[in-house]
Amino acid sequence: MILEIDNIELSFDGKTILRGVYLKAEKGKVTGILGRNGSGKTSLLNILFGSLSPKYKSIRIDGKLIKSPLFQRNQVAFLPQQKLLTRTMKVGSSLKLFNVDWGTFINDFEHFKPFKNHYTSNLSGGELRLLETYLILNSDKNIILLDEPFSNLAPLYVSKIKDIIAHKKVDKIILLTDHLYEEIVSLSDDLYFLKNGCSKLIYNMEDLESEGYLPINSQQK
Amino acid sequence: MVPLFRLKTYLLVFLFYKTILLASTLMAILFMLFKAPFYSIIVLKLIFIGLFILRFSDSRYSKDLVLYQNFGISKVGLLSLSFVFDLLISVIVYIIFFL
Repeated sequence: MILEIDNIELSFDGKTILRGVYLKAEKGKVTGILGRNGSGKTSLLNILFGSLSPKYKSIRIDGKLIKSPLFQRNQVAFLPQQKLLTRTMKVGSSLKLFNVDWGTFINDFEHFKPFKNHYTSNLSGGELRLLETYLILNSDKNIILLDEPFSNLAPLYVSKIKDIIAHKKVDKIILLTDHLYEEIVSLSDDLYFLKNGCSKLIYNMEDLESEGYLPINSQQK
Repeated sequence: MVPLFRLKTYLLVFLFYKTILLASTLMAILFMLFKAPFYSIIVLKLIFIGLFILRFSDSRYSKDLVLYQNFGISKVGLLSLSFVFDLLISVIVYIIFFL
């Protein structure tokens, strides 16, 4: 399964956000997206998901043009930058909703054990992010979009989530973006950089330096 | 398009609208007690839904709909089903207690 997106034109209040993006994501690979703040990473994921309509877009799955929002085809799961779950939902109910087994979840994240009947509003920001990321990664969809999955997560959980992503990518297309660029670089099989509304395929850290995303000689630190 | 043949869709619609549902149903019962015509109850429900449409046409709030979109439910589908759900409950209350 191959997902491609190009010919995007997105503007807000006369300012062009995206204009020359080409991105290809494949099953079995993790595709990372990096870029400075305001470069359009979140907008790009929203366009892919179907919750944001640009002026023009072309989304293809296995070469076939998809005109309707991808979420309506029930093929895509999206972790947005802001919170996903409602405050009035219980932790156990959220797992049921996503058809995720409580036992398996507890196996991975034992400290959630007492929280089964707690409302998600009782979780800390990091715990909520961890739960939401886990749910999206374990949903039965073919395409997974993750917008800042590592924000607020402790290093141990970042590592666990990375393991889950590496495991899940076998039969899914996974696209993700985060400001923890080292995690994205180490996790991604293909890496794109967004700048001035355009995308560029990144091959190594020097490319990120030459694009002005990293300070020169950042790898020596 | 809304996945109408999945129970989960209706659970999610309830989750989305439950805060308004109680207020809307109580107001509808009040209308019924005062023997207001049923169309006025429909207008009341339309006002509630209209307020929701206004709220979610703002991009800040439309982001809250991603949970429902993850289950294939669009904004239009969610609001339409909420209206039907709300109206159906009032119709049932009307038939049982006031007809």
